[in-house]
Amino acid sequence: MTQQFDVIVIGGGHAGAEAARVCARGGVRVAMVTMLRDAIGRMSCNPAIGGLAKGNLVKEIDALGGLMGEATDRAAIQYKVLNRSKGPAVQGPRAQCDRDLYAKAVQDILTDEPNLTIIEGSVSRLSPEAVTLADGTVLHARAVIVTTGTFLRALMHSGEKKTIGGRFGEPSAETLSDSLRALGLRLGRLKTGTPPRIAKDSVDFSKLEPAPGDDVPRPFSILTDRIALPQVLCHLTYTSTASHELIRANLHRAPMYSGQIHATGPRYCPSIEDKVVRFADKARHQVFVEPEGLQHPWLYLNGISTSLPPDVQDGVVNSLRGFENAVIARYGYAVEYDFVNPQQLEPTLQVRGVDGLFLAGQINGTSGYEEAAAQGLMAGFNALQYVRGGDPVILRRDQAYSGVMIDDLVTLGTEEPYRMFTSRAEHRLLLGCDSVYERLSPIADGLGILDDERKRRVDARVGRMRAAKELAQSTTLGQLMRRHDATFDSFSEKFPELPDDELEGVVSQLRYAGYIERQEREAARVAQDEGLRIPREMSFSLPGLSREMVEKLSFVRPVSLGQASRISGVTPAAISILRMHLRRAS
Amino acid sequence: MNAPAIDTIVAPATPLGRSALAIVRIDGPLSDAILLRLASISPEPRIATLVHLRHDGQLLDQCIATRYEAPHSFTGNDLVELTLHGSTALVEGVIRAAVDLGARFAEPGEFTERAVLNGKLDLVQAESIADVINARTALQANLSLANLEGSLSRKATAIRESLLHVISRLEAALDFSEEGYEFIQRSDARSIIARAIEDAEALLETYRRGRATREGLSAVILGRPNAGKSTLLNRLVGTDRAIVTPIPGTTRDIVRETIEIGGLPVTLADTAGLRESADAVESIGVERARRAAEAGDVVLYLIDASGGITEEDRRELARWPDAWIVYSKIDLAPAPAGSIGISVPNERGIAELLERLDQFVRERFVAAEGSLVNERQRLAVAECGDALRAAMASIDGGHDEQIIVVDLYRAATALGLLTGAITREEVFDEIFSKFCIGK
Repeated sequence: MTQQFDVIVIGGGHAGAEAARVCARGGVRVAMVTMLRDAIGRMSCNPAIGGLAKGNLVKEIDALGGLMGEATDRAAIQYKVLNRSKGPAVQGPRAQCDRDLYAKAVQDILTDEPNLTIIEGSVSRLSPEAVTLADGTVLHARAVIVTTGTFLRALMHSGEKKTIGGRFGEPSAETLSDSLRALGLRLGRLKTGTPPRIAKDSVDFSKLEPAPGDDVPRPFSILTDRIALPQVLCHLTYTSTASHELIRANLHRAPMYSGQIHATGPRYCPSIEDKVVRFADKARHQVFVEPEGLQHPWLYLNGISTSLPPDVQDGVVNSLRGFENAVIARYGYAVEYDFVNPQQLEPTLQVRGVDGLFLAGQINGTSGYEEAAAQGLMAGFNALQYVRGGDPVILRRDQAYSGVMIDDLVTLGTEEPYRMFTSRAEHRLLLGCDSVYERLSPIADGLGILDDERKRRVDARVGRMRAAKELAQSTTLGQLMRRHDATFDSFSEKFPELPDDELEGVVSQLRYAGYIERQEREAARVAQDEGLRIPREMSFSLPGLSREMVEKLSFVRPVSLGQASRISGVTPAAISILRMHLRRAS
Repeated sequence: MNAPAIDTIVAPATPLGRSALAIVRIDGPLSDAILLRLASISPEPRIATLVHLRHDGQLLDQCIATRYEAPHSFTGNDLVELTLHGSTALVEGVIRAAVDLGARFAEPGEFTERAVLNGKLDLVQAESIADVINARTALQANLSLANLEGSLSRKATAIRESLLHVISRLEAALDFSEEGYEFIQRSDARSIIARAIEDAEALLETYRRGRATREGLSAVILGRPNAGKSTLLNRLVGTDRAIVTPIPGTTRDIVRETIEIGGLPVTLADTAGLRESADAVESIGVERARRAAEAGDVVLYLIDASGGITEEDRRELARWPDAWIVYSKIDLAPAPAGSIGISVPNERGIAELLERLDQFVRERFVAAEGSLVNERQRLAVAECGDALRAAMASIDGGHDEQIIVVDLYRAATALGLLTGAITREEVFDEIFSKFCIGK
């Protein structure tokens, strides 16, 4: 059996969902191949979307016409803006979600797309033009987007026990790695982990600290008028010295410490065994107790991701205050998997030298739903443009966190699962959630992706904020707003038509105008280097460049001088030589 | 993958002309092969070896060849130094032969540029090389040598590292604000920044002396016609540099000559006598004298002791409050008590005047090691200081980390540009265009 599509998306996770949706919106025929239809949009780790820097990614996705913000608002049961006391550029909106409702929301949104066909099956072989399924079906397409997450040759570890699979109860994609290798790609190995889930009715909530959300929930999507679900309380507890002693005594049974896992794990989302070793002087670590859903019988323990064997996990959990009699419903585990060194990709996320083949999500070495989704969206844009014969879509570092992330990935590669941080963005003040629609929606609109309703709302928001800013600037109110000890409340009555988040945006844009202008100037200066393009066929064997520099440059093959200057270990001197060469050549 | 095509360059490292010895440098991957072709042997690395250079059957010279293997050379590349006999014809012959064998003539500053590109020197050190070469006094050379050894770079790097320490912790506070850890206390960040401001300001204050030491000083001799200015200049220089006659207004244009005072080169300027004149040429000379004095580091105002101080002198001195008043011709009439007096024909007061000048230069202008010596360096540190004060204002104004780090990054970048840890093309071009070939 043979079928013809324009774009095939392999995988139905957060990257795959965005990629398939945006291509379908662009009016081309899309097939999504997934091992399990019911697993589309599944949250394999924590039941939350957003957070510091990650929340900005979700807002960017929403501004660009992606689905993550919408799905979150349909499933959110607690909203909280992190870093609330700090400037808007580093504030991170976050929402606790009902795990099942989130997956359902994604599935509903995808089902609504007439151009999208969902095919259940396992891919055994792939090329840029065709995908072969395990049952022999061949699907043809003009572009293929691979979003297989942690499923490539995935191996789960729980103590000494090893199970083949990418997520609890789900299989692994064992042969895809070979197809990727056959295309000349270099693969590496990473690991990530997930904490134990606890039976809710076995926990004494009276002993936990309450962790409430914001009084007024702030939705992620511009399409959301009101939060549909009831909002709930989360909780907080702490590890104790008893927990730490138990972990230390059993370190040799943790696969990462015993040498059973050879892959690299993330430094910044460390397992509890990592935390105990690395922060040996800390008497206790925070553990967030998060509901898996409104009706869900389990709790998620955010902060004690682990691969220790079950008997140790029992002991560690029971050492937490309020968890003395708690029962683990599913043990935590680590998963190790193949990933593709993303330095082998173009800034469009297309595999260099393999036209029409795009990679997005955890396969590129990232961690997190939001990072995956943002890549899925950008790979979707570029696959769509590839099929339609349009220009590539590349976001600059001063334009979006997504742009920073993809540039980091293809330029620097990654040694550990890559997570978005605000500190990765050098033009951070330009990337606040307040200005995201103004910055990014016109790009999606130019590609014909934005529906009329979203467009109308974006225009209305941008117009309102602009008018308020102009009004403020023309009166003494503007000066008052610049004072950073002035409170927002004092202005809200002057702008009754402006929602709080828009007013906060206006105030901060006025307040930080000097800094924002300076970053804009700096970004413009850097943009000159981005404008100095490196021809695709140019050899980097230039007079004055050491062998090491030539090797680094040749491997990454930067598309511009700006990108070259960010490659790890490429010296300023090498950049000067490259610049002189490009100037002379042009 | 092809090996990168670094080419091989050749140039004389000593001035062309007749001398006992002349050095030619060959740098790059072919340097060893070129030496082998010319000398028929390849000496042990770093062993000065007597060889005979031949090319096309002709003997070029008998010389000492020293071979350095990468990366253990000045440039970090394979490098050959040939110490020839100091004849222009011999040097040119050897260079022609090297070019025949695949080298090309070096651009100005190219050897030093290669050393920087290979990480053997940072930018401040590269600038110091030019300064060492251009030094006219031992003291100047010592200061430049200290910077070549890294004393200025170390100061800048220390400040920069303290800032990176604060930046990384403030960034962590933003990225991990929910984890319940404290990365740096506000008060600690504040005191590190305060310390960095002090260090940057102290560094900035070294510039006046640093520049004076690197560039030398100018001392301008002013006075009414026939006060004895040219006579004093000639005496200090030790030759009949300026024309001396009894006719007032003999000196019209400025006559300059440099001598060493207090370890620094001091350029003395003899000027036209100050008076109202109908003569157009003399008037221009008087104008020039005043302009030179405005730009000068020291003004010596000469008054003829036999005529005493005049109304014109008083009017003129009002314009030069810092001028040293020197009474001349004290063999004819004594100088007022407590003032400086000289008589050139009788050699009176000259040693005392020089002694005072020497002390003045040492106290006011001689720099310590690790001083800023040029405008590029001063601008970088000034920018750093401005940025740090802005960061401090943000802290004291209660701003959060994201605003504070904007200025801290700016400060760290300015210091990075100073040492070349970060570079921009214009900085690089600016520095290397100042070198002469072969250095």
